[in-house]
Amino acid sequence: MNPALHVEDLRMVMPSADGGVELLRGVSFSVAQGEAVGIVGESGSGKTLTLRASIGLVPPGASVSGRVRIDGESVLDLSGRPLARLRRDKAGMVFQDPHAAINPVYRVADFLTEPWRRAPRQERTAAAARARQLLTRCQIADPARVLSSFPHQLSGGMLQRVMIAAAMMHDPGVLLADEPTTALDVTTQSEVLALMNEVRAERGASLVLITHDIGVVAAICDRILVMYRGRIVEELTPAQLYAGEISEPYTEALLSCRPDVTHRRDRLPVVAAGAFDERYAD
Amino acid sequence: MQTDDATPALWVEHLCKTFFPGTRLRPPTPVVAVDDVSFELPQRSTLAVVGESGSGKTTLARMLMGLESPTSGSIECFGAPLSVRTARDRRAHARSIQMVFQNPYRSLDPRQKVGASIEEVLKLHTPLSRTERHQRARELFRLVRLDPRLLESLPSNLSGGQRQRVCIARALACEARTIVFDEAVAALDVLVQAQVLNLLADVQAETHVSYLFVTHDLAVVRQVADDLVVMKAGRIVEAGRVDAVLDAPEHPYTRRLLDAVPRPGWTPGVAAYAASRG
Repeated sequence: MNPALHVEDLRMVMPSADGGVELLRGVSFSVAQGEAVGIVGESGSGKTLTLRASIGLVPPGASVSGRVRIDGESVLDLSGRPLARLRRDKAGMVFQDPHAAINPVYRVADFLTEPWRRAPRQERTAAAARARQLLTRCQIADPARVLSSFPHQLSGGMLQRVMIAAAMMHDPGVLLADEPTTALDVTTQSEVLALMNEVRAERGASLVLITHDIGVVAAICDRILVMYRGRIVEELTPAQLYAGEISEPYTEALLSCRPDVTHRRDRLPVVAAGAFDERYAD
Repeated sequence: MQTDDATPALWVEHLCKTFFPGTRLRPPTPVVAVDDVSFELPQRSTLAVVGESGSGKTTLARMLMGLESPTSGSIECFGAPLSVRTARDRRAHARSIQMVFQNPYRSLDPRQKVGASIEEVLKLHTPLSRTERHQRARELFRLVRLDPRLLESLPSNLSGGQRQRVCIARALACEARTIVFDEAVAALDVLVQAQVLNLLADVQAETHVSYLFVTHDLAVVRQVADDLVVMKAGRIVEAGRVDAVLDAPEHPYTRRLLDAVPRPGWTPGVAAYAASRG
């Protein structure tokens, strides 16, 4: 069986005056069908770049090498229509800030059914019905009102549910989520995470979840990948994480510098910028 | 202004705010955003205001800053009633209380170099000369662990975490005695957040500043705050010392917030669903 997402030796270099900055330095991982994988790391570790490159979204000017396969198709070799089709049918994406990622001048109904704008009437009606059904599934109490609203009329948590519904419209094999709950408050976060996980598990889709909160990842993922400076430095399961079976000091640092809700610490441990550069140099 | 150490940095009593949103098609309907809120922020201490989206925390912060006018109730800063009627009042108020906003992408002028935005505050509020201002901006940057070379950058060239530290440096610039943080550390990644929280603790130890933290992150609350008020639908449902409230929450809403914090064995949503059903 093909993995839902397979990334092999992904490298990305951004040319600059003094040669070029290596943004990704050989990222390889594989996500099996139905599996949930979390990627954690500090800002600038390349987690978002990896996720975006997996659907062929590469920053302008960057040169990319390596292989990315979604459901057997080589993403980096595609462009134009075939790439658009792959993004539409096989990979759903949930971005961090729903207000920035959803077209502000479309009503939610039109946003959700945009891919079917030119489809035959029968398919359009089916898509509209599916949109309504997905919104209901996403715990939206009054789908009719939400469907006829503009994005600015909805709260962040509500709109994030709309984005999850949008990502699931085509029943993709893999759901990619980039910090989907960072902009939400804790109770909404826990609801949105639960929902995202249930909806994708029901349909057997895989999940790649990016966040800087290692606690969130550990709660819903089967495996955790830790990234630092453009490469994966450790891979572990939530059980290993909680049992303290951590082999890399960077993972340890990520875990230990979080404030703890159960007790106050005198000072939070601080990691100096570049403290791990030597350890994880080439 | 005569103040002694016992005068609270902020004193709020029976504060209410009602909005009347309406559209062309819908008549204005009153929305009570803040409902009879009273609390006190002693000098040199940190108060956290927690609650979910829509609980009125941001409206409360904006009233403290003089950005919204209260419908009723009173606010006192160091014993003096808050007044922002004239430009002079507003400037004096800004000198005593500063705010760090939630979204670092919208709270800096995209066309102004970040160094200039800090020097502008210094020019407005301090008698420093141009070279002294420049010097002070470099110091502030070092204080928030930013490379002073970044002073010449535009906000668009900085990451979210870097921008938020610029905003914190700007809030510290005129040595305000109170700083309000509206979800200001939520956007930072954990490593930077740890640095910023330590930094704020250091600044407080050195300068006697008071902090008001508006946040939904209870782990951050435990780390930085002395006192805590929990808001729900505009009202305070629970208040007290942080350790007391978080160790033995009395209100079900506080318990629900605590249950939503990720921890070993935690399953997202279950607690929240249970609470909304029960």
